[in-house]
Amino acid sequence: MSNGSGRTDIVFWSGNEIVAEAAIAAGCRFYAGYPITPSSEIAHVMAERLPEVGGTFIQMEDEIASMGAIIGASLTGKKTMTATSGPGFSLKMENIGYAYMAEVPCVVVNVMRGGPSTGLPTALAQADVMQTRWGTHGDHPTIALTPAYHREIYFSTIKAFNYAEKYRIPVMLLLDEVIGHMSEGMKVPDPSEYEIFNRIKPSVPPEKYFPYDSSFGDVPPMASYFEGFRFHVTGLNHTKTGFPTTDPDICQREEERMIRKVMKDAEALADLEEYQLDDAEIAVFSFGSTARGARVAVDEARKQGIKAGLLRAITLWPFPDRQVHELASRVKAFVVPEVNLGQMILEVERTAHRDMPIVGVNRVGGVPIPPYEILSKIKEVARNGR
Amino acid sequence: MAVDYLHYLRADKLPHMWCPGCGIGIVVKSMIGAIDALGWDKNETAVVSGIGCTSRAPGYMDMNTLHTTHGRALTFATGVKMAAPDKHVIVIAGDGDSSAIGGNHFIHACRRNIDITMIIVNNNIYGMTGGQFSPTTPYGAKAATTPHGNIDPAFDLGQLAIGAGATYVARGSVDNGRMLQKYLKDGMAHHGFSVIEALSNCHTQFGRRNKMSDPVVMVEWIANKVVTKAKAEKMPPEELEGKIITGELHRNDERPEYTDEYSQLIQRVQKKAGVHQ
Amino acid sequence: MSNITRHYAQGKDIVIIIDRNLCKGCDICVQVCTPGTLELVDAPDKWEGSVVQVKDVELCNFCRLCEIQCPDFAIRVVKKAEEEGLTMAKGKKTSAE
Ligand code: SF4
Ligand code: SF4
Ligand code: SF4
Repeated sequence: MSNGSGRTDIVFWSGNEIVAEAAIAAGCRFYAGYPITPSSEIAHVMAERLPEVGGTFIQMEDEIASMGAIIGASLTGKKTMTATSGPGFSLKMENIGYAYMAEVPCVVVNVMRGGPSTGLPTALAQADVMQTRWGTHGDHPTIALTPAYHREIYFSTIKAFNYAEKYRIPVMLLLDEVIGHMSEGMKVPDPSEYEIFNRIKPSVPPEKYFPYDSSFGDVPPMASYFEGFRFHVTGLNHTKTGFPTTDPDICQREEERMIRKVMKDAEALADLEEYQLDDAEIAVFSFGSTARGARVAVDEARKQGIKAGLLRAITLWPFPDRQVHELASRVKAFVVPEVNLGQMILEVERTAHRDMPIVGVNRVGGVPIPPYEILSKIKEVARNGR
Repeated sequence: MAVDYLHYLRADKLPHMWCPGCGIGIVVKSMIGAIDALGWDKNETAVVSGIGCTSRAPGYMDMNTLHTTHGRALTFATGVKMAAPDKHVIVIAGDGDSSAIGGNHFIHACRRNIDITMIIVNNNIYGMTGGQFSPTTPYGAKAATTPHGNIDPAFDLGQLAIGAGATYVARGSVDNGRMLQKYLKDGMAHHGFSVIEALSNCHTQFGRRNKMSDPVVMVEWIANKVVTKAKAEKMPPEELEGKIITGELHRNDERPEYTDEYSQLIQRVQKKAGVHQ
Repeated sequence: MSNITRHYAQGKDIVIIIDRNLCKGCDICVQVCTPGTLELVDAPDKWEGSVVQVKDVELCNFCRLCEIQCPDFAIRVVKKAEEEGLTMAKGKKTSAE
């Protein structure tokens, strides 16, 4: 039996269970999902817990349906979530794009597994990071969180809901198979340790309300269905009224606003752990479960006299452009371990924007990157300069 | 009493985008007549659609309206209904939208028996994308993607809905708006998943390729093709050849409705949890 | 010129209301009207090229088939007492204006 939120004793939950419990603590009252490994435990806990708090759990007929259902439910004012893994994430992409376009808050959890295709259903990967950024067609902003430790998963889940509500977008919570399945003892955070953000409701009467009225800011207040506002929602490009338009100027302006509403807060959204970076000459950039091994490698490198440090992204998207760029001016090289064949390294190269060694440590066989592999790459770079 | 149609419409959006004589307008009108007859409040009603000519209907309706992705209207609608079970949720979809790309959602909504009214405007073609054949295009008919005649067997949407578990299924046609309105009203009033198929004319895409480019001619073609259930029962099988039966095709008031089931589940769970507290 | 014309029968309590702006001249109402109350006329100002008009309101038998079958909400047949409460499209202007 799973435990209630508000527990203060030590619990022993897997990452997936933490996501479910934290979602309920964040106010999630609607979950739609479809069975898929390695994310299914999230659905198991939600199925058990949501009715207890008067919320709704529904297992839909497929991944696409789950994504549609959480958007529909969100329009009634509920905080909603779905969880999936690689192939399911691919299937959800069209409706994720809909949520961006129609500006509907929701949280999508992707517990990453090996791919492409069915790939390695029960094994680790971090290969959906670029899909998370660019998976749905068209331009859009992305917020994606990649927690690596258990209390951090709890707080990241709450933040995911807060960001969804604050920016009216689908927010991606990116776990990987190791983070999702590993159980660790932790103290359930007390509500005093975090804040809850609820979407801004309109302050004007229905006849003056427009669902995309940017005169209230880049994130327009959001009415719910059945409250008398009778607004229209579409995935077509639309004016502030919510009705379709093909006017090039309006389309341009609105799409720019939808990106700006997130990107202008990039600094505030950045969430990074800097470990041993003060005097570092070699910086390891990492995220998720790989970062746990990277930390061990950095410690070991230090013991062997190499000035290594770790920059760990807890917010992976928006990418911490400025922070990586500044770090690049201080260190001699980057080592980028990730369980894919080189995805986030492209972002490190882009933002470092320097002629310096930036080397990857990559695996795609479904197993974590052992710390010694990261260590030997650190040593190699320290020795050879590349 | 006269129905004040424009009270239910976003009158500033008219005239609508549909071709002159397009049957979708007749379906929407019948739908408004049914909503009016039932006294449903605009604020308490959501109209959800997918993609296609039919799916532009919600944009004209002065309600809580949701124009979603192709084939997925029922998934969004299920979310709306599960989150707000006491509100009215109507889905309006075309034949391709509901039975091709959205076929999976369709059968599962039927199976759950969730209290949503699904109106399928069946005009046997993909109108908006340029006249490609759909799962309901008749055998042998011409479409943009069947220039040599259609070899795909057609779905009987009513039978599909009944087989999948819908608890109210009826078929009407746009040549008879009054009858259509009656089935829409009964379907909306029904507590469970109801499917009302409205046989409609797309003279622009279907008719044009099949010698019926005039809406009047095509509506007449539909009128000649349909036979009411009552009449059909008295007709010999050879006369029924090629005819489509309209009327209330199926009704089951016994099966539990899905949101009722879920709210009972919540009560059960909370009662049990209460014992522990 | 208003888009909306109202035709009052003399002998009976019937009003036919036509919104010329909404009419697309599809001919459906004319064909369903058995007494021949309605007709289609050329309307070069409308892109559809034709529009409905009342030929003889006195012929109307209040069957309301035209209203029910019009896909465009362009024609209504009501009692005088019902006329008042009807919402009218203000909306877009016709190309003639
Ligand atoms: S293309 Fe066909 S379905 Fe679409 S509006 Fe025209 S007649 Fe109607
Ligand atoms: S049916 Fe309606 S749109 Fe067609 S001609 Fe008559 S009034 Fe005009
Ligand atoms: S109400 Fe009947 S008789 Fe009168 S104009 Fe309309 S169709 Fe003709």
